[in-house]
Formats: sequence, structure tokens, C-alpha cells
Amino acid sequence: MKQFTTRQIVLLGVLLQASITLVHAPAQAADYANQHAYWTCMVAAIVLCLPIYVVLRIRRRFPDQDMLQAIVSSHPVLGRMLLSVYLIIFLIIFARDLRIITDLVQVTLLPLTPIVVISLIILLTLVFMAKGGISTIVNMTEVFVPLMILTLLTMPLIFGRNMDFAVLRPFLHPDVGGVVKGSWRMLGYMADIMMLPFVIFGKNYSPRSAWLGHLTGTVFLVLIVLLAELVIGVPILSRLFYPSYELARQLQVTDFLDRFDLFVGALTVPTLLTKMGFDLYVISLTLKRMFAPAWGNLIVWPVGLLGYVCSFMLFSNIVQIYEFSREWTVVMVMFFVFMPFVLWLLLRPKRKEEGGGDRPSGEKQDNRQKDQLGGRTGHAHL
Amino acid sequence: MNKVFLLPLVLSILFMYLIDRKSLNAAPAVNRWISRVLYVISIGIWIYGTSTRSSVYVATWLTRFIDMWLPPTL
Repeated sequence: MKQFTTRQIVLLGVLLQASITLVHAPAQAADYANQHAYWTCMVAAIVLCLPIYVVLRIRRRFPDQDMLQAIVSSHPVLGRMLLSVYLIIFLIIFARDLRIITDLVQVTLLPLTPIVVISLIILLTLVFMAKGGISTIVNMTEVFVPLMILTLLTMPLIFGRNMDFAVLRPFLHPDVGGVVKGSWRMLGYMADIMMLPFVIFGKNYSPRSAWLGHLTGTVFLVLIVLLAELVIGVPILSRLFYPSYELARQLQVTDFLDRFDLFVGALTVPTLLTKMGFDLYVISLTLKRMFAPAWGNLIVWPVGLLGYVCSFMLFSNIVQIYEFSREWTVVMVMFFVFMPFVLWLLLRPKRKEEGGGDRPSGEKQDNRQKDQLGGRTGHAHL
Repeated sequence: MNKVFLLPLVLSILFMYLIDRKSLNAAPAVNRWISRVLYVISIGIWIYGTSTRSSVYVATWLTRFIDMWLPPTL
């Protein structure tokens, strides 16, 4: 059954690929690739085309299942072991994102509030978002991602003469080693787009929506990095911790809107929250698929709390997360770039038993009763 | 981080347990076990994390381990 439109999947792809990447990665890219920082997004995007192509091939074999279901149904034991590894990876991604956002909110919006309180408030929002199911997250994406893109498109109009195109010179003499290093760090964040097929697969994840989402996310990132270079300048950009926030701080719309960055921040933070809501949803869904009869919506809060604890206990401080992106990319490349190839070779749908297509009417009635119960307790969403 | 901040964690566990109480009783038993195990792991990690030295973080030893295999060009 087709549940989501192409536009929704495209926006979800942009959200996963571009939102957290904007926080730290442009500074790292500029640090290594200098004036060619915007190339790093393109190189990482080209690498990501391979797993997307492979995942689309797998999708044809499982038209009615998400990838987690496909893994478990074709290899019940080995599949569950693989899912437990993915669970840990998703958990680390969630913990990393939660720590990044908590720190960003503390630095920019709530400097006097204790970090634990900020983190718990954010977690509470995410839990209710994930409990609402994928449709809540998709609807939030539909509201906030277009706003984020619209803000980007209006930025060049406001910056106007502040943009200095001389910083891009020389255009065609790249430091290849630097570009590779920058792309490596960029890839670690951009590979989050490969989390999408774990949730939305089958008929919803059409080739058109997958490629368009990837393309739009890449163009968005290239434009943001390019704007940051043009407005802030490469030497300063490479030394910033929150380059996109600094970019928004450069916006000045006449005298009466001096703190325009607060407005941009108020638009960007919900986008980042939606991305983390998706992270939390993926973790809960993975656990639900591993322990088949479990209700997903009751798993969300324990998993969220575990992610909250991990966000403080895995990393000593935010600088470690910044430095960690070099090593973390290895894990992302192994499990989000190479693992789809392995899954492509191994995953085969089980042949249906004779006469399995016709369900007895009693079973249908059971399912209807289950749906009614799910509506009352809320677990039908997840 | 110190052990004082374990209190908000325990309070939020209690808060959510009270909210989900009825659904948890109606859900399959595996749900209750997942919740309990995850809560215990969370509290355990917090206590372990606050009682060790600051250099012993998962990211620290993960960084060291991956660094051994990573070429210096990256």
C-alpha cells in the first residue's frame, strides 16, 4: 500500500541528509579542503549513490516490507544478530545528535539552563514525536524542511554585497588530499540518509523519490557551504564550531531585526528535532522487529532514556564528537555503504506456501480487533 | 556529570512508568522485559560512567581502536 507521496519522501531524504550535517561538518570541510569545501559534499554524494542504487534493487524483492522486516524474515537468527548491531549504531547516532543539539541549544538559546534539563526537555519532545509514529514525523518534515529551504533561498538576497567571490579563487587547483579528507568527514554525517530505507521501503521508496531526495539534499548542502565560504571567508569558517549558526548571525535585516539569527534558529531547531525524532523512531522500530510481538510505542521511552544516558556517557564533551567524525565515518561506510551490497547478495524473499494467499475470514476479523485495540492504546502507529 | 543527576533520570523513569502503566499491563510480556532491561542498563551506564575517570569514555577507546586501521591520508 502506498502511504506517502513522493514529495514527502524527498523532504524526508533532505532532512536526514542535510540537517545535522549543517551543524559541524562545513567547518571541518573548510579546514581540509579550503576554498573547495563545497566539492566535498558532491564527492560524498557520489559515493552515496552506490548504496542507494543497491537498496533500490533490494526493494524490488520486498514490495510490502521495510528493510528491517526483510532482514528478519529472510534470516531469522542471523538477521536478528545483524539488527542488534544496527541497533547499537542507531543508538550511537541518536546519542551523538542529541548531544550536538543539546549543546547547540545551550550555546545559542538557553545559556543559563543546566545541560541535563535541556537534554531531558528535548528528549520529552522527541518521545512524543516518535510515539505518534512515522506519519507525525513525515508531517512535521513537510512543515519545517520547506521553511528551511526557503530561508536558504532568501539568504543570498539579504547578504547581497557581503558575498566576496574572490575567496573561491583559484577555482581549478584543488588540494586533492584535502578534498578527500573533507569528503570523508562529510560522508560520516551525510550517510544518515541511508537510514530512510530501514523505515520506508517497498512501494513508498520509489527510485524517483530516493534520487530526488538525495539530489535536493546535496544541492542544499552545497549552497549552504558555498554561502558560508562567500560570507564568512575560508580562514574564519575553518575555525568556527557552529558555521551555519554564524552564517545566520551575519544576516542583518535593517536595524529593527538585529537578532535575525534567533528567527532562523527558531526555524532550524525544530528541523533538527524532527531528524532526531526519526532517529528515535528507527531505534524503536528495530527493537520492535527484533522482538516481534512487542508494541513499538512502549519501547520509545526506555530507548530514549538509554540514548539520553549514552549522549552524556559515550562522549566526554562536544569537542570529542567533533573530532570523532573521522573515526565514525569508518562505521558508517561499513554499515551504510558496504552492508547494502552484502544484503543484496543475501536477502531473498521466502517462497509463499501453497494457498497462503487466501486468508480465512476469522483471521481478518482478528486483525480488525487488533487494530481497534491498537487505536485505543496508541500502539497501532508504531 | 555526577551522581546527583541520576535523580532526574530516575524521576523521568517513574513519570513515564506511571503514564504507560495501563498500556504496559495490556501489552505482551516481552514489552515489560524490554523496558525493565533498558531502564537497568541506563541506570547502570550512568553509575558506571560517573564513577570512572574522565578519560574512560566509549568514544575514546573506539577512536583508539579505529585509529589503528585507518590510513593517515584520511
